Amino acid sequence: MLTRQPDFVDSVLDLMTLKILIIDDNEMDRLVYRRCLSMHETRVFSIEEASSAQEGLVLYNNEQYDCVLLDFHLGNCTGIDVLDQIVEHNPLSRPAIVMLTGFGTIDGAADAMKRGADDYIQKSTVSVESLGRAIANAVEKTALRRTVSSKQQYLQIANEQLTKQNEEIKRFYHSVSHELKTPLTSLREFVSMVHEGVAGETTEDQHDLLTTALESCDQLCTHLNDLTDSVSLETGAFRLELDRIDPAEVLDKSVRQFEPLFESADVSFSHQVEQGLPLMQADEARVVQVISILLANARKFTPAGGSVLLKSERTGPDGNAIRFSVADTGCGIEAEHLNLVFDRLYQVSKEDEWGCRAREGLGLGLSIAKQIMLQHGGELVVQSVPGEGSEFSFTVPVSDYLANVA
Amino acid sequence: MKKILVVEDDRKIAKALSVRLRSLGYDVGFAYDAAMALTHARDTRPDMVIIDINLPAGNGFQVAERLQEAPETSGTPFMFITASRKAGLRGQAMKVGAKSYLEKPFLASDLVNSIENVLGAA
Repeated sequence: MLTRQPDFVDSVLDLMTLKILIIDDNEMDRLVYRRCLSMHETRVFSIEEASSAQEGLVLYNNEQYDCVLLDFHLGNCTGIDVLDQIVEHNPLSRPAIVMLTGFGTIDGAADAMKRGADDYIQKSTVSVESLGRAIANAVEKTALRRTVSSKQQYLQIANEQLTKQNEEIKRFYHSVSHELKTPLTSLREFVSMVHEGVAGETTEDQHDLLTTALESCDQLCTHLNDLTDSVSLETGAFRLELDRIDPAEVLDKSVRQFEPLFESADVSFSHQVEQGLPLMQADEARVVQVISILLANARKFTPAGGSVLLKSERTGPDGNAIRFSVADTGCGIEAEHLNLVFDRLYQVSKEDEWGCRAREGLGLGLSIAKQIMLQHGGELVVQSVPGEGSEFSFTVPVSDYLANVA
Repeated sequence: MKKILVVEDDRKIAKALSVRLRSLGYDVGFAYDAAMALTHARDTRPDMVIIDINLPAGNGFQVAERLQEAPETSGTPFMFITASRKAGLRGQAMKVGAKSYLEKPFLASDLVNSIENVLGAA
């Protein structure tokens, strides 16, 4: 039993007068229907008649009907033709249609239902009760159909608006990021050049100050990239560019980038690469990015005098993956935070006896890193003991290329 | 002395690159838009071109294509720099024939390495 929709059906039943159009070429039959409907107990019907398809269509085009009673055989054409015309003319807001079939036209009735008729009734079974019920059911069905269709239209419009907004957000972030990075580029270049002595030798103090300035530039850049990446991931625009990549080279790039940073933080930084690692199927820039995120975190949460180890080794059944891990002797992560660290914007903020800094960064890094790894078909996990340290590790699949046999 | 043509519309970045590259011993020329880039390249015959992807009135890819079409510059190697992080841009850049690709802001060492690679590829 279909549940009633509030709007249309209730108002129709309230009005109680249903406008009916009878299209039947047999005068006697039309009289029978008229009589049945006029004798209905609760409903009032206002009836118009047509004795041919053409006449019926003229009336149909000039008036709004709640239901059309349509005979199967209409002399020189069939009721199906009329049915098709009504359905085609006004698919969304057409009236209910009940087919009237003669003896032995069950197949035709099934066909009519497929083509949009709401119900059919055999002429031999027409009675006050059965005709009234067929019409009422057809009208209710039509009301439901209209509600569904208008809701669909509404959803489609809402969807289009959301897609448009999504695009605008994407464009905005790209544009903002681009505009911010342009001055940042020249800023970094000028600071870097003075730092390196291109504009003349610097004193040790000047050099140190500029080192810090450069670190800030790079942090700014990382934040901007995190923001763009986060929006990219959120709006589904994020794509990996996969290639056969050498894990040793990736490790090398990360080491070169972070060696000076760990040195300035007075944290011992070492790395281990397993010999003869096969090529992996990965987006090189993104894997470097993930390692950077992990190393930056390790640096943030490891106090002076601590140590960080970056490792790369073969793993998995049949050695079909490369595992990278960053292990630190930092303050570690409490068990209850462990599952949450990969959430967007989640940040652990504590000031404790080991002197870990309270808050730094946007909090996007680990969630971005996790997404990048998921898109690679690998995963990013963490193990930690509070007070002793943490180890973040991720795996990347080995490249399948046949010539690449380790 | 090797000649590098820098195609970059932001004057400050252009100036920074000018100081940096000259300190490394290169002769540096500048173009601030696509049209200027092509005439400059034809006139001065640089050993390589650094092209910013985002340019006014045309983009870096178009510059690269025109460079390769013109007989005077068809063998000149080039690289892209860009502040954009759009997916697939790097792949597109390499397909167009770039010998290197850097995201802004870049590390000085990465810039130097890229330039050496590109000049070596000539």
